Amino acid sequence: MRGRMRSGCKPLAATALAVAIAALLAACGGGSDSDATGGGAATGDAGGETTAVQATGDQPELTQGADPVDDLRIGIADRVTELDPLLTGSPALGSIGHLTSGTLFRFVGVGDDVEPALAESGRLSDDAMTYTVKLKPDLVFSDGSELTVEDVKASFDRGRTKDGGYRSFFAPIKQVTIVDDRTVEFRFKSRYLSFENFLAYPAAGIFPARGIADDTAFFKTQPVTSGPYKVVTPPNGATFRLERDDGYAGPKPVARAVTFVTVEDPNSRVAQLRSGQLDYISSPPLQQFKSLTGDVTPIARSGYATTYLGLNNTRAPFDDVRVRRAAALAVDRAQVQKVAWQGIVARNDGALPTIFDGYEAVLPEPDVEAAKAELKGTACESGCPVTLLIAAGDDWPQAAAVIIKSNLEAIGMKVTIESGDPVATLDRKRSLEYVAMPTFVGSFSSIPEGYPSNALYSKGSFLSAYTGYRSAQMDRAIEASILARTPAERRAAYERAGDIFGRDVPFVTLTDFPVTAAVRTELKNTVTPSSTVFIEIATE
Amino acid sequence: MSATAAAPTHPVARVARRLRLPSDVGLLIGVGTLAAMLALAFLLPVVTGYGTNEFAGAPYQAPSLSHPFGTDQFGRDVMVRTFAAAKVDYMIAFLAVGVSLLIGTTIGVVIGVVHGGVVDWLLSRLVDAVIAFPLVILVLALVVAVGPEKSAPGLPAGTPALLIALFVFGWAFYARLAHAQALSLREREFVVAARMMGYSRTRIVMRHMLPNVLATATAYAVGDAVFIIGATASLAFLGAGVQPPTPEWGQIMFEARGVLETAWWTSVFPGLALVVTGLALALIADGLIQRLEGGSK
Amino acid sequence: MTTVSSIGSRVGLRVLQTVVVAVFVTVIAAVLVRLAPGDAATTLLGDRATPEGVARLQAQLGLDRSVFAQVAETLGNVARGDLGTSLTRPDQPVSRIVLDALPVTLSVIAAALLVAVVVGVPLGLIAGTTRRPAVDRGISLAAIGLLALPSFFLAIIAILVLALTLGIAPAGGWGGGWPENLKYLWLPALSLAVLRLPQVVRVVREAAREASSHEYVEAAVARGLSPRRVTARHVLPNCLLPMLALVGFDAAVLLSGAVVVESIFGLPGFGRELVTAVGTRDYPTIQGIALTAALFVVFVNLVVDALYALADPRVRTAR
Repeated sequence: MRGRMRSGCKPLAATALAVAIAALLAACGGGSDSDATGGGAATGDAGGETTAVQATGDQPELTQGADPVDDLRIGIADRVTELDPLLTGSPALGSIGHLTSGTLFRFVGVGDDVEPALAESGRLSDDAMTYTVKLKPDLVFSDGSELTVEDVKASFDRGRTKDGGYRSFFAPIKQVTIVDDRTVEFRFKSRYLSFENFLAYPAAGIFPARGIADDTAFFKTQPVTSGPYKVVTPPNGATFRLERDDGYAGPKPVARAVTFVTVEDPNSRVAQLRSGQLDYISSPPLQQFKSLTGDVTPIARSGYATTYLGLNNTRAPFDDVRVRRAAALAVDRAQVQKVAWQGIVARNDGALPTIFDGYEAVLPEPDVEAAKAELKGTACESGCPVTLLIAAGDDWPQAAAVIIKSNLEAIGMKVTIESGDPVATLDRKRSLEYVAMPTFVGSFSSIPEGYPSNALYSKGSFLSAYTGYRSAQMDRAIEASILARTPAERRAAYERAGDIFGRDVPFVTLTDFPVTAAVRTELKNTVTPSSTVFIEIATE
Repeated sequence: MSATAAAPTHPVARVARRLRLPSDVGLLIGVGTLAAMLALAFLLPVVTGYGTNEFAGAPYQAPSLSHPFGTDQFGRDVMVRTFAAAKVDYMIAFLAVGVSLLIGTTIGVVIGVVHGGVVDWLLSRLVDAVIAFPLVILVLALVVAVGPEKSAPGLPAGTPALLIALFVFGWAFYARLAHAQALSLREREFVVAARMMGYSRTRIVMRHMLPNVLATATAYAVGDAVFIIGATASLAFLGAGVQPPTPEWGQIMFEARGVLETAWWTSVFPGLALVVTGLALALIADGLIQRLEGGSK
Repeated sequence: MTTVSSIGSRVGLRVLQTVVVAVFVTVIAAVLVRLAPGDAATTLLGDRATPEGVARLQAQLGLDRSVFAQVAETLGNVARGDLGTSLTRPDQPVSRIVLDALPVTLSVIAAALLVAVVVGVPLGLIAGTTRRPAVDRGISLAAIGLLALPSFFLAIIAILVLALTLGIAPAGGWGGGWPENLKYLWLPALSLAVLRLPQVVRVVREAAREASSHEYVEAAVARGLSPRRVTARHVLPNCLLPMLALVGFDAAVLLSGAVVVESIFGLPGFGRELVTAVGTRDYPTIQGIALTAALFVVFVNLVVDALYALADPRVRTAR
């Protein structure tokens, strides 16, 4: 038996040896991922356009009086788990809040203009310290009960105390007073010119006072609402259904019911749209954008958000402004726009989204030599390690990271890409435990309490787009934009912020962040994403 | 399979005989294929002048003379990347299977020899638990905990986490296999004889059992390697793969899955490479099993 | 040979084994997921959270205690049969989540096994009994080659070809009830079946090969009976045992494979719940699913072992 084993072993051993050697060779080669030409300059025709390209793809408007639809099927990426508009911020959940929460004012069309909805009229005092709103008569909730000024006061009082992300919008409200059975008065601690615009946010939705006394329980089942649609299925199922509330005081949408279907994988969403199982999907994968034609139409609309390369201002190497400026000189934004974003969105060289009044290009064109010159005398002069953090599964950050990596390597930095799971990545972003991170920041409308506060204000809850950037000058500019009395004053404040931004480079803005979707072509004027990010349905 | 019984008639086998190599045709073709792919992995960047991560052309170019496999979304050459991925995938498969095999087999044999008693029983339950445990949680949690960004010398970013997840799951299968084998081997004559002669347990394990068990396990392992490569690809789907821009077949196919219709070359060629590798490994596995069953050469 | 008391003690032993496995699985799952950074409080409050808000929610959810304390509490609850409530969806008991998702995944796995057997057994028989080595090699190699392809790739091709181009199946999703679900079931089942098809083919082929060399088969063929029929009647039963073993093994593999397939087809099953739960760090749900999945695998193996014992007398006495 021993003998048998031995003679059978030799060729076996030889084969094993051969395989082992092969594998070892592979191991030796496997580590170095950048062969000689790795830090490549971006060749090919990527460098072409230097002028900002506006968001392409169809930009359909909504047709008033479009054909009625019985059941609009919308594919989204998230599960519907939370119905409290004070706790949600994602486009999908925000859209549900937008369709169900009755608000005093509502967004019109596909931009952020507002008109009265539950309110009949509203008036900001001349000193912008008081806002008085008059309700329409005979308002009802989805269960038929009366909507009164008590409910308005209760809803806003809840917003002022609730731990959510909208604290900063409610913060300037000093007091909510009921004047008479149809009038409510808001008193502010400081000038609040944007208040009327905020009244259209789902977070400003009106809910029954007795219901929201225990709001956690209220929003867990089928909450009573006052908006154009009411909730008819409890959350957490595979699908989530809304039906039109014919008691709503505002314009009536043409879709009788809306069903939200959760399909996590973006490619599967596209497949189901093309097969007709879905009518509208959010966030189609960028790679497929250009190939969506015929029966389906892709949409990319500029919004109030930007994509940027976040630089951690509180730790090396980006705590040094010269290193940040070098990064701004190295990153090829044109290539990010063209390759990572397939050219569907505008490039951004400023401190604000390009559709803001007051946007200016303040970041320099790529210049490798100038970048290297900036690095002289810094810790990065002879190369420093940089990790780019992205969340697994994101499409454009992955592509952008690969491009940025080669851009930064060209000026001598040693770059690794880290892709973490979304929760861990978010955690690290919030606790400023990263070095650099391509990500986005934005808000629902063009008010200065939105994007400018989130992105540039160090005292805001977003810690200057999670970069930890602190500048008293920038803070003052943002505060000035919030308290500005006229559009011209606001624009001037924005331009000041832009100048400071160009000097301090807290982060490197890359492109606008569009709202993307795809819709069955015959429905493209019936349902569309608005610049606010919310899904808008045409009205009768 | 056409295992050579008498004088080999297949031309490949005849050449092999001359060179004093083992002459099973399947085995040779298998090993040869793998070696060829690795060779291409090293040679292609030199021959074509394109780097693995170099943006060498316009994005999504169809296969042409200058780019026989076309280019991907960044304009990187797909052929160079496809073969470069062979290095990464082979290494992952080798390490994952190799370490699982060694550790798992040893544990399995030890359990088998120690047979009886609480330790044996508990360890067997642990093996059961690991096998029954949903792979997904294990991988997801481990990858997230270890950190998908970590790299190690020689290992590109993402692989340590991936490998640890594969080890933790893999050893149990080999342990069970080895355990069963050890149990049956215990009763075989040579082991009984060794015991009667008073050889220590360790000696029995090391010199009599392990070699036999390892032989079977290796044959199974080669087939397992096919599964591991496929599984690594699916793990990319869960975000637990090798980090970009390091090329790895599963990762490449995962990134290219949206453009299957418009840019088929970005996923079909890595897919073919996977299939060829799978076939080669299968041939090797078959050849090894033939030897074990056939015995002497 | 087997007395009532020995059956009883064996059943008791199996039960004890199952319990120990369940404990191990629960502890491993509980510890593993807590290793990962982030928790349910962070995901619930999203990217608009304040540090105080997060801390408050953590205390509320009991996430600020030590890992040891949390795992101990989990074990205690599970021992009482209480799987807890989802952290991210406080109105959903974990048992509800599990019971809603389980039938979906089970039906996909069952259908996949059915397809694998229906397609694989004939193929394996052909490979094992054919006179032409080319056919045998061809089938075996094709089967193995298939094994190397990632499951998502095949699923995507299936959708592209069968659903979008030919229009004979929906591109994903799930129906509201049976038999409507059958329409949505067969494409995912097909994609999943491909994962196990090669093994089925291989096992059947080996058994067929082994059986066809037996004398009675040769004798029957010599007497003029069609080789096919002889094979089917005498070989198939021989395949039964190895196939059973394979099924037991398959349970674990298919459950994992189902995750990817469910993601692509958007099926509300176990895999998807699991991935969501891990993504939102919903510890009770993760633990509940891990436990249920493990118990399922153990149960299947138990059934397989029992069938094995019934079918093969040698095994019964060998213990």
